Amino acid sequence: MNARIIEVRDLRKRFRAKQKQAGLRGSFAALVRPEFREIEAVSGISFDVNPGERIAFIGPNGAGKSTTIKMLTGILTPTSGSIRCAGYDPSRERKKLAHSIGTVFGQKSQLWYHLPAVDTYELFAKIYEIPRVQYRERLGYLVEAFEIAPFLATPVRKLSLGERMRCEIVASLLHRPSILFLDEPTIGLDVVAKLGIREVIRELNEREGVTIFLTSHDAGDIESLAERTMVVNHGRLMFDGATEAFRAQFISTKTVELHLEEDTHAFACRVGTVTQKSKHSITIELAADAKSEAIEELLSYTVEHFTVRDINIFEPPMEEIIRRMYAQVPKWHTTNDRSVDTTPEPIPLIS
Amino acid sequence: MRYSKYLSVAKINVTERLHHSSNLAGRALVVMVRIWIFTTLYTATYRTIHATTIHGIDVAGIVWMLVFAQSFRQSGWPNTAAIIETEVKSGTLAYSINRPYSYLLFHFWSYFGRVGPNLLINIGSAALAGIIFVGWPSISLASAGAGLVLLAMSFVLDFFCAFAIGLLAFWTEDTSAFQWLYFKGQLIFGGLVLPLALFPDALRRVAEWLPFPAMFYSPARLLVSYDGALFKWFLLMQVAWTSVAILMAVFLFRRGVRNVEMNGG
Repeated sequence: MNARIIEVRDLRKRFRAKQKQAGLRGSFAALVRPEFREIEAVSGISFDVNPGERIAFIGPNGAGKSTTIKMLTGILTPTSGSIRCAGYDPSRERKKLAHSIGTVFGQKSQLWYHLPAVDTYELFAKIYEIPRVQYRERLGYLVEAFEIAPFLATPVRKLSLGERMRCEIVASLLHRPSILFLDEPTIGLDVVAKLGIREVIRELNEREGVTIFLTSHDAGDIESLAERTMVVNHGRLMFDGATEAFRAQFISTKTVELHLEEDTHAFACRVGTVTQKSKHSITIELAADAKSEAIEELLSYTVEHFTVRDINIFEPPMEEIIRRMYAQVPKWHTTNDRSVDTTPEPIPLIS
Repeated sequence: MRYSKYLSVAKINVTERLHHSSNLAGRALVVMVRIWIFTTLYTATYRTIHATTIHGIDVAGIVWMLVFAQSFRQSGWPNTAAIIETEVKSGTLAYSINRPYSYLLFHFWSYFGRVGPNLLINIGSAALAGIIFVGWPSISLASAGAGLVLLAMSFVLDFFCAFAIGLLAFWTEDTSAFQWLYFKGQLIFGGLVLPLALFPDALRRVAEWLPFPAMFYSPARLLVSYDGALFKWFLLMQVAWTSVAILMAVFLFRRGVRNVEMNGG
C-alpha cells in the first residue's frame, strides 16, 4: 500500500481570461474580436502528504491556494502534472474520490439553509450510501464531539456563524473521509468559536487519523492546527516544512518587555532598539539571530540599574511572520498581471 | 441504495417546500384570483358573441382547462432555469460535481420534490375556485388516465427545457432573455390564457408542432374531455420534444462542465 495519501507532481494550471479594453468602444471590440490571455495560476507545484498529517497551505490572495485545492478535490482539471489523492486521480475518478475526502469551503455552505442541519445529514447519509446503523452511530459520535446537539433541530439560517461552521464540518465527516480539506474554516468567526473549531479538528485528527489540509489567512489556525506549513505565491511553492521551522526561518526579531519600579527616562542601555517607552515600561526589539550575550547584556544592565517588576520575552506572532515572509517576495502587480513574468526566485525549501 | 439517494433528494425538497407554507398559500391565492378573472372574461366574451360553445367548448370547459393548466404551470416553482443559472454563476455547480451523484438527476428529483406539495396546494385551491365559479367538471376515467400520463411527461419536458436554459449561463452570463422567451411561449402557446382549441385553425396547426402545447396544456385539455387521437398526438409531441430537450441538456451540461474543469468554478 502506498504510504502517501496525496502525491502531487509538477502540477500546473493555466486559465484563459477574456480581455476587454476600457469603455464602450472596448466592449464592441471585445464582441467582434475577443482577446484572451493565458494566466498561470499554479506553476509546477510538487509535494507529498502522509496519512494523518495536519497541513496549512497558505499564501496571499491570488497565490494559487484555492486552485490547488480545487484540483486536489477534482473540481478542476490540471493543465499538466499529476495528482494522486487517496489513491485516485481526482479529475478522472471524481465520484470515487468523493467517498474518501471531506470538503469544507468556508464561504460555500453545503447545508440546506431553511432546514435543520439534521435534514442535510439524512440526505448526505443517502448520497454517500452510508448504511443506516453506521450513520446513526457516526452522527451520534460527531454530534457529541462537535457539541451540536442543542441546535441540531434548528434551521441553519437561525444558527450563528460558529454553530453553522461546526455543522458544516460534521456534514463533511459523516462518510468517514480519510482527508479533510478545509478552505478558510474560521473566516468571520469570533475568538471563542475559532478555538472550538480548532480543538475539534485537532481531536479528530488525533482520534481518527484524518489528514487535515487547511488553507487559512488566520495565523492562529496555522499555529494551533498545522504541524507542517506550505506557502505558495505566484503559483509556486515557496516554503514546505515544519511549522516550527517556518517560524524559525522567518523570525527576525525578539521583543523584550521590561516593567520597572523606577522611571525609565534614565534607561541608557545601547542593546537593541527601543520601540515603546512609558513611565515604568520599556519595549526593546532585538535581532533574533543576535547572540545570547545581547539578551544577557540587556538583562544585566537592567537588573544592575533598576528594580525589575516583570520581564517578558516574545517572538513575533504568526501574522507578523507571514507578513514578513510576503514582504521578502517582491510585490506583484495585480492578480491579472501574473502572466507577466515577475516571479521572484523562490526561497529555498527546507523540508 | 444507489438510486434511492435521488428519492431522498426529492424528499428533502418536499420538506423544504413545506417550510415555505406562506409562500405556497400566496401562490395558491394568485391562481384562484386568475381563475376568477378568466371566468369573468370568458363569460363576458361568450355573452357578447351570443354563443354557448366555441369549437365545441363551453365556458366551464375553458375555465377548467385554465384551472388545470395554471395550477400545473405554477407547480414547477421555484424556476429551475433560474436555480441552475445561479449555481453556474455563483460557482456552486463546481462544488456539486465532485459529489457522488449525478448533477442532472439531483436537480431532476429536486424539481419533482418541489412539484409535489406545490401541485397539491395549487390544484386544490384552483379546483375550489373552479367549482365555485363554474361548477364541478365531468372527468371520465379515460380522461383522468390520459391526463395523468401527459401531466407526468409535461413536467419532465418542462424540467429539461428549463435545465438547458439555465445552463446557457455558462456562455451568456445572463439567461433572463431566454427565460423570458420560454415563459412567454408557455403563456401564449401553452394554453395558460387562451386554450389552443380556440386558436384560429391556421395558427393552431402551427402551434401544435411547438413544445409549449405539449407541456401543461396537453394534460389540461385531455382532463376536460378525452380525445383518443389528440392524446396520441400530444404524447408523440411530448416524447419528441422531451428527447430533444434531454439531448440539449446533456450536451450543454457536458460542454459547460468542461468549461468549469478547464477554467475554474
